[in-house]
Amino acid sequence: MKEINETSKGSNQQAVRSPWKMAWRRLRRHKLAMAAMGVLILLHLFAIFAPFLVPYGETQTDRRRSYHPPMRVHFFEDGQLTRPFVYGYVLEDAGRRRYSLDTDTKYEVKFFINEGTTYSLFGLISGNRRLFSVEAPGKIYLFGADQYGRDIFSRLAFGARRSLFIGLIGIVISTSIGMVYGGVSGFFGGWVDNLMMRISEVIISIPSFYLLLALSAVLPTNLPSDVRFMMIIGILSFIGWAGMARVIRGMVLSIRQLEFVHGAEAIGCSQPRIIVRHILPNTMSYVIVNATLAVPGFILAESGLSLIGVGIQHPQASWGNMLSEALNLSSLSRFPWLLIPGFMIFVTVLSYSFFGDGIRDAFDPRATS
Amino acid sequence: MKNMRFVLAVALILMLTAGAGAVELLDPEIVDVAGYYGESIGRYGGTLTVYGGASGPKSYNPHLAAETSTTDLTDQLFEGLVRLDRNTGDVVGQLAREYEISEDGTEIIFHLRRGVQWHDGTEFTAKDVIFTFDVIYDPESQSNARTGLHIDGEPMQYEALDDYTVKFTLPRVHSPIMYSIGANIIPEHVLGDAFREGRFNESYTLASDLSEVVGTGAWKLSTYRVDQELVVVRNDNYYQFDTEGNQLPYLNRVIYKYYPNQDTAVLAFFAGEFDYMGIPATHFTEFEDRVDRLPFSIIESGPNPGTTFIVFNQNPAGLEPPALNWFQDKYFRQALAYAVDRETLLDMEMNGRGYFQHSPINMRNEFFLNPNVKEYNYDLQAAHEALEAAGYTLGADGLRYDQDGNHIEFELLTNTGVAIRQTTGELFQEDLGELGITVNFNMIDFNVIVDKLLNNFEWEGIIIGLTGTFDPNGGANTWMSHGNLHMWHPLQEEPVTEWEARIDELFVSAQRTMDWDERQMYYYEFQEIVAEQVPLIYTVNAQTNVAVRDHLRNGVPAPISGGMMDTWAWLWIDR
Repeated sequence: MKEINETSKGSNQQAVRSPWKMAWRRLRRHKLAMAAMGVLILLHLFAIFAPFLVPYGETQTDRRRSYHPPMRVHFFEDGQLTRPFVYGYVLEDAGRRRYSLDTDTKYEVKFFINEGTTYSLFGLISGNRRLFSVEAPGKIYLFGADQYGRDIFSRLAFGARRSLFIGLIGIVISTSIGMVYGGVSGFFGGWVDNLMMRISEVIISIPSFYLLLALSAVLPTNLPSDVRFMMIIGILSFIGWAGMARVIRGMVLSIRQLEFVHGAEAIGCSQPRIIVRHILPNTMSYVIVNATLAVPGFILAESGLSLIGVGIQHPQASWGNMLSEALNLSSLSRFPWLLIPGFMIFVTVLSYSFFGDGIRDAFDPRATS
Repeated sequence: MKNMRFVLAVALILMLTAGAGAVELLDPEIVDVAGYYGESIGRYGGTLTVYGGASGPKSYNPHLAAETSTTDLTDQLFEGLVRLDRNTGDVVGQLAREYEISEDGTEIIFHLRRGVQWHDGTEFTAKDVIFTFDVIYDPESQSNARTGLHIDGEPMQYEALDDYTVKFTLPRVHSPIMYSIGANIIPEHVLGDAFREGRFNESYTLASDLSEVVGTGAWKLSTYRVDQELVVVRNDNYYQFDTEGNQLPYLNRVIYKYYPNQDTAVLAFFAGEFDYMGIPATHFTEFEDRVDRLPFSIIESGPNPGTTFIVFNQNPAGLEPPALNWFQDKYFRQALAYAVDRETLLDMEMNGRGYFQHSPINMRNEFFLNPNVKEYNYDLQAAHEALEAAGYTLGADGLRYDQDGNHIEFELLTNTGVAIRQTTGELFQEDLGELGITVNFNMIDFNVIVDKLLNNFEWEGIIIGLTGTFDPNGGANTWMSHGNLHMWHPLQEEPVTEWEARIDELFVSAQRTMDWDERQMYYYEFQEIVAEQVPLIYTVNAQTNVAVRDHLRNGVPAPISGGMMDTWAWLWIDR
C-alpha cells in the first residue's frame, strides 16, 4: 500500500511537470539569473510607482539649487540613534555652484508626507503623499540635482518609465510581427516564402541608426514628448522584427514536417489555426530567450538617441537624455553624480543579459534537470 | 660639376630676390608698442601657437571667405586701406598713410604708403587698389565686401590720381562707408589675369600654390595640413616698426592648431600647447581653478560684441491668427520680456560672469549705447499684470486666454548645440508655464532655423543670436524694414508699422551725416523705440576672457573687440 502510494505520488508529480515548470526549476537554480531578475523587478516597480516612491516631480525645478550635491542621510546624532535627517546646504557661489554644509539646519526625513503637490498614478489614482521627503524649505537630494535643480533620484524613476518600457513595448511589437511573419512564410514555403524573405532582407539591410536619425529629424517638432516616445518605439520595433522572422521561419520549416502537424491537417484544422495553435507554440522557448536578450538593444538605442538630442526631449526625463548632461567634460569633473543614469543603464543592460542567459539555459531542451 | 651648377643657380636666385626686394620703403608705420598698443619693446624670435577653432580655413581668398575660420587667417595675410584703431574704434590708416574727406563728405582721397611690398617682393601701388574695387563691384565675383560698399544700391566712383593716390567719389554722403572701405586689398599682378578671364572665384582656393597667396600683411602663408595645423611665417619686409626702429613682427612664426572638440582644446591649453586662448564661458571655472598653479593669467576683456535674443514672428506671410495677433501686440511682447530670468541664466551658463543686455547696440561701443532705455528685468508678477492689462486673462484652469478665448500656446525653437540657448528656452518655457502660457520648446538643426527665418517664414518663436559690428549701421540689415534679417517681418516693401518706418528714417538720417554727435542722437532714439516695441527680447551677454601664458608679452586684448588677433605683430616671447 505504501509502495503504491509512493508511486502514485511520483507519477502525479511527473504529470504536472510541464516544460514551463521544468524551465522554471532550472532557472531557479541559476543564482545569477535569479539575482538579475530580482534587480529587474525592483527597477520596474521603481518605474511604475515612481510618483509615490520619489520625493519630487519629474519637471520640478529649483533655480537656486542648480547642481546641488548629493546629500547623506544621517541616522545618528552625537552617537545617538535618531530619526533619519539631512543637513541643509547653503549656496555660497551661484556662478560656481559651490555649496557648503550647514550643520545648524536639520531637516527630518518624514515618511508618507504630503508636501503640497499632487500626482496621478496610471491616470487613475491621484495622490499627494510621497513615500519620503523633507519639509519645506528643505529639500532632499539623494543623488544630487541637475543644472535646473531637479532631483536626479526623482528623474531616474520617471526616466525609467520610458527607458525600461521602451524595451518591453518594443519587444512585444517586434516579436508579434516577427512570429506571425516568420510563421506564415515558413508554413507556406515556395514563392510566398521566397518573396517574404526577400522583403525581410531589405528591412535588415536598412542602416537602423541613420534611419532613426533621419526620421527623428522629420518628425514634426511640435509633437508632445509622449507621442514622440511612442513613435520612437514604433520605429525601433518596425525595423527590429526581420531578424527574428527569419529564425522563426527556419524553425517553422522543420516543425511543419513533424507528425503532429500532419495529424492536425488530417483532422481538418484550418491553416491559421495550425500556425497559431500548433506550430508557433513550439518556437516559444526561442522567442522568449531572444526577446529577453533583445531588450537591452532597445534600451541602448533609446539612450543613444536621447543622448544626441533626437529622442526624448527635455524637460521629460529618460536615462539617455539625463546622461547627455554628463557629455561636457567640465560638468562631469565638477558634478560626477550626473553619471548615475549611465550606471543605471549599465545595471539594467547587464541584468537583462544575465537573466536572458539563465532563461536560455533553462529552456535548453538538451539540459538535464 | 652638378654641385657647381646648383650653387650657381642658388646664387642667381638670391640675386634675383635681392633685386626684387630693392623697393624702398618710404612710409613706414611707427607703432607705439610700449604704450598705446602693448606694454614693452620686444625681442626677436619664437613661435606663437594658438587654437584656430574646430576646423581650418576653407579658402585663402579674403573676398570669398564666408566663415570665421577663413577670415581669421585672411585677416592676417591681407590688409585694407584703413583699419579701426584698437583702442578707440576710430578709422585710421593702414595701407593708406592718411586720408582726406572733402568738406561735403562725398570725396575721399587716400594717400598710399610708398614702398610697401607684397609677400613676393612686388611693390604695392594704386593699381592694386583699383583692381580690388573692380573685383568687388563685378557682380560675377561674389565678393563679401560688395553689399557694404554700395550706397542705396549705387557703387562709388574711384580713380587713381597717381601711383600712390586714390580718389573715391560717393553718390551722396554715407558715413558708414568708412567702416567698409577697408576691404582687403588683393594683388593685381597675381590675380589680374584670373579675374579678367572670369576665374576669380576659383583662385586662392585650398588647392592653390601657397607661394602664390601673397598679401601685404605681417604674416606669410607657409604650410597647411587641412583641419589640423596651419603655419604662417614672419613677413621680413613688413612696413611696421616699433619706436626704437625694430622692424615688426617680433615673432618668427605662428601656428594655428585645430581641434574639433573645444573640451580637447581646453585640455591642450592646460598642457601648455597654446600661448593664449579665449576662454569659453562654460569652461571659466576650470581656468580659474588652475590659474594659481599653472603659468598663465586671465585677462577680463569686456562684453561679447554679439547679441542673443528671443524673437517672435510678426509676418502674415508665415503665420496666422491668433498667434499672429499676440506677437503683433507690443503689450504682449513687453509682458513676455519680463519673463526672462537673466540672473539665473548668467549663473547657470556663464558662471555669473556676463551682462544683462537691453539694447541692440554693441556693448563695446559706449558712444552709441543709450544707457537710459527701458529695461525689462525678471519679474513674473509684472509680466502677469501686463498680460492682464492687455486683455490676456488667466482662466480658472490656470491657463491663459486671449480676448477671443484662444489658449495661448506657441512653439519656441533654437538650434542644437548651444547650451546657453537651450537653457534660455527651458527657463522661459517654465516661467511662461507659470503664467499659463504653453510653450513647446524644441531644438533643431541650425540650417533649418536659418531657412525658416530667411525663406519660408513659418515659425512662431526662435532663440538666436547675431554677431555684432562696431558701428551701429552694421545692424541696418536687421533693423531696416526691407532688410532680409529683419527677422520678425523681413523684406517689407513699405514699412508696415509706424515705429518700423521711424527706425528706417533714423538709420537713413544717421547714414547721411558725417557729424558723429548727430548720429548718436539718431541711434539713441532708435534704441528707445526698440526698448518700447521689443521686437527682440534681449537676454544676456557673456564676458570675454582671455587666458595668456606668462611668457607672452604685449598680449593685451583689443578694447574694441576683446580679440587678440591684431596683437600678433608686436607680441613677443620672454624666456
